[in-house]
Amino acid sequence: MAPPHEPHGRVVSGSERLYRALLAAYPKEFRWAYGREMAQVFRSMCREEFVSGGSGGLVRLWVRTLLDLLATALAERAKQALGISTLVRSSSKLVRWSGLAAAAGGVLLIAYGVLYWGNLAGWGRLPDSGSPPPEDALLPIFMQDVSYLLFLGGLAGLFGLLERARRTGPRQAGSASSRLGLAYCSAVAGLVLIGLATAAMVANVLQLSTVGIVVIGGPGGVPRGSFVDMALGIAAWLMVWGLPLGIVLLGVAVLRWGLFGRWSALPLAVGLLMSPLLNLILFLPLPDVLVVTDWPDWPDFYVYVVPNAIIGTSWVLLGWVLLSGRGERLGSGVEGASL
Amino acid sequence: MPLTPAVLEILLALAEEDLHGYAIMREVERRTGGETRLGPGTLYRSVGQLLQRGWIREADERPDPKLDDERRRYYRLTDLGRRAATAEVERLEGLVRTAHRKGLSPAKRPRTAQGEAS
Repeated sequence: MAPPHEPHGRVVSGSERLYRALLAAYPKEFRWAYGREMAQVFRSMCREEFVSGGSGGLVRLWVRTLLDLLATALAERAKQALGISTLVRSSSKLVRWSGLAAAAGGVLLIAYGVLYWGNLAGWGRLPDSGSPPPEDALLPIFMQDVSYLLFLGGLAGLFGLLERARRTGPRQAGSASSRLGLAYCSAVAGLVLIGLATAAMVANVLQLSTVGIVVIGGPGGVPRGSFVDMALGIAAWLMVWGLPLGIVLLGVAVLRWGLFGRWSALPLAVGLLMSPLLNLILFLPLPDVLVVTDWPDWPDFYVYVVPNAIIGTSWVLLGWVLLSGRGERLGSGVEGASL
Repeated sequence: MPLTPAVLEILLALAEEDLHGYAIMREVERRTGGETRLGPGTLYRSVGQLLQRGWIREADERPDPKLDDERRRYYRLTDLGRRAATAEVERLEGLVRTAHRKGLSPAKRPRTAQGEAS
């Protein structure tokens, strides 16, 4: 007669091996935390069922266990897919990448200001260097000012801040629902303006690539007061004012969320406000003192280099804040509670 | 929010002593007369939730280290978990009282088919 423990041992070991393999249905974190114990428990169950109920008992145990495994593995997978722990990790990545983009955008913006000034001052030649922009052909000027594209870095940074505010804001804001409401309104308004400005910019790029330069007024130009003139005016307004205003509103939202203290937010606010100021200086009728003069062209230095450097520095600062995680007061808050 | 049956069963199993996973499973099965059988997935999923909420924790000391598999982890009910279990039991008691008032008590079943027949 074969010793009873031998087939019992083989069956139990085989069942346990199979169950261990099936544990792959659970997310890695869950397996790492409980997989070994689950296999151990299943082994004990197998042994008991086999001893008390024989093969039939083992089959019944397998059926129950498979149903249990299917239900709980699906639930854990769904939790992982939709769960906050994953969201928080991806959110952290998003914040870090936004910070990197903001810092890179800031550096590019500073470099652009210096190079543009250098071109104006005689290092190279720009199409319109040496003369103020013609009053009736402002649209091409916007395209020359590629610094707008570099705002994308700053935008990414602000989105990073908003993402961080979303994670930490409600707890920091506590019961100040009006404060949160203002933050949400400001964020929505900012995003709408930025969206419109971006659409206007894309439309401008498309029309330049197909139609070419649009001249308003004069012989062969778009008649003043026409629909196209009005549309171009709105698009120009959006590009000049909508983008920076939207960015400022987003910044306000971040501040209302209580993400930064006032003083640490000051350089950022200054950098953001420099954008509309820069536009104001560039597109108001230029006084004679700002027209390009001999090298070193200090008036142009103050127009092109200083504001871009301030904005760029604010972007770099923003990027540093996001990358370093400064001001992120999660601690045992949302992140800890969600995992 | 009501607790799931598995969670409440685990809390009840740990109410008197520290237990490891398999012992929790056996205790639940014994107490319910075999009506409730927790699978390993349900058990450890619930254990994970309870650990996360701080309702149970891993016990530092083991009941009998010499006689037991040292790889097993023992779980202990925390004060928070005890309060949560108590609150849930109170809620269920209230539910049972309401059921009694509405004549849904098993002891007051005169109008069942059997009762009417007799």
